[in-house]
Amino acid sequence: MATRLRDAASGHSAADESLESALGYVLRVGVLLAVLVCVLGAGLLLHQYRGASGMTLLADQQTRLSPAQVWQQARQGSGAAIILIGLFLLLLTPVLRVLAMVFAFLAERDWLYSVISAGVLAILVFGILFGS
Amino acid sequence: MPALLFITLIFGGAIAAGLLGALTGLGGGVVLVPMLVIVFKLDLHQAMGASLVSVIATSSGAAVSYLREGFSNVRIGIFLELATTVGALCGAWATHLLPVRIVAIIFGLVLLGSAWLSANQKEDSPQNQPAGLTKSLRLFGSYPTPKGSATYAAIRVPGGFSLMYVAGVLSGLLGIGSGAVKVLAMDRMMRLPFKVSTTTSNFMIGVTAAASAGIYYRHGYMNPALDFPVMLGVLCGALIGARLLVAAQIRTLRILFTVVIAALALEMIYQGIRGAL
Repeated sequence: MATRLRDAASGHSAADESLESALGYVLRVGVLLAVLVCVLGAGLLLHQYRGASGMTLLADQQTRLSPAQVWQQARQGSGAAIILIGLFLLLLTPVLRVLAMVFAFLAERDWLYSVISAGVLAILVFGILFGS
Repeated sequence: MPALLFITLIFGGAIAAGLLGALTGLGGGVVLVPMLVIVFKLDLHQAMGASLVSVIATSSGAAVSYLREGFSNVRIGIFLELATTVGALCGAWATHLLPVRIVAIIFGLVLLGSAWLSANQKEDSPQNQPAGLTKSLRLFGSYPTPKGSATYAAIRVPGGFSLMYVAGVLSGLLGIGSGAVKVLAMDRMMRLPFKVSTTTSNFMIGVTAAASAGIYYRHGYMNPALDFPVMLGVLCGALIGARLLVAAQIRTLRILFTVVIAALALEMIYQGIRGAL
C-alpha cells in the first residue's frame, strides 16, 4: 500500500515502465519493417528508372492511388507502389502505439486515460480514413 | 541529371538536414523543406509531404531510446496529443486552401521563431505540488537527475493545451514536427523540466504527424520517389546527430547552425513574397 501511494504521488509506477518498454518495442519493429520495405521498393524503382532523368522519375509518379491500386501495382512489381506500402507501415506505427496505450491503460484500470488515449486513436483513424 | 545521382543528392541533403535538425533540437523537417525548395527547386507541397514522412520515422525511431531513459511522460504526452492531433487535422485541411506563397512565408516565419526559441533555451528545475486540473489529470511525475529522482508537476494546463493545439496546426500546415512549439508549451507554459519536455515532445511528434499524413496523401503531397530518400536520409542524420550530441561539445557549432537556419528561413520568406515558388 505504501508503495502504491508513493507511485501515485510520483505518477510513475512499475506498470508504467513496462508499458513504456512495450511501446518502444512496437515503434522499433514498425520503423525497421517500414525501412526494409522502402529500401526494397527503392531498389526496384531505381532499377525501373535507370537511364531516366531525376526530374522524370519525380514527375512520373502517380499520387492519390487508392489502396487497391497500390496493392495491385505492388504485386506487379512496381517499386513506387512497394515504397508506398512501406510508408503505410510507417504511418501505422504511431497508430499502433496509441492503440497499445489504450489497452495498457485499460489493463491498469485507469479509465480516464483509457478514454483519453481512445480519443486520440479515434482522431488518428478519422484523419487517415476520412479527413480531407 | 540521371535519376540515381539525383536521388543520391537528395539522400545526402536529407542526412545533412536530419543531422542539423538533431544538433539544433529543431527536428529534421524544418530544415529539410527549405533545402528541397531552395536548393533542389522542388514543389513545396511535395517537400512538405516528404518532410511529414521523415518526421514520423525520426519520432518513432528516436522515441525508443528516450522511453528507456525514463524521461518522457506518457500521460502528459497522450493528454496533450488530444490537442495536437485535432490541430494537425485543421492545419492539413487549411494548407490546401492557402496559396503556396503564403504557406512559404508562414514556413519562414515559423522557422525563424523556432530557431530563436531553441537558441534561447535555459534549463530550470521546477518543483511543484500537483493541484486542481494537474491532480485530477495526473499530469505530474518523476525523472532521473544526477542527484537522484526528482518530482515535477505541470502548471497552467489550459494554456499548455491551447499552445499544443497551435503546435498541431503548424505541424499540419507545414508538414513539420513543430517540436519547438511543443517544447515551448511544456517547458515555458506548463513548467515541466526541460529534459521531460524535449523527450515527451519527441514522442508526441510522430502521432501528431500521423494525424495529417492521410490528408496529405489525398491532397497528392506524397511522392514515393521523393519520400524514400528523404525518409531514409533524415533518419540516418538524426541517429548520427543523437550520437554526436552525447559525445561532442557543440555549443559554438549550434550558433553557426542557427545562423544557417535563419538564412534558410529568410530566403523562404523572400521567395514567398516574390511569388517564385
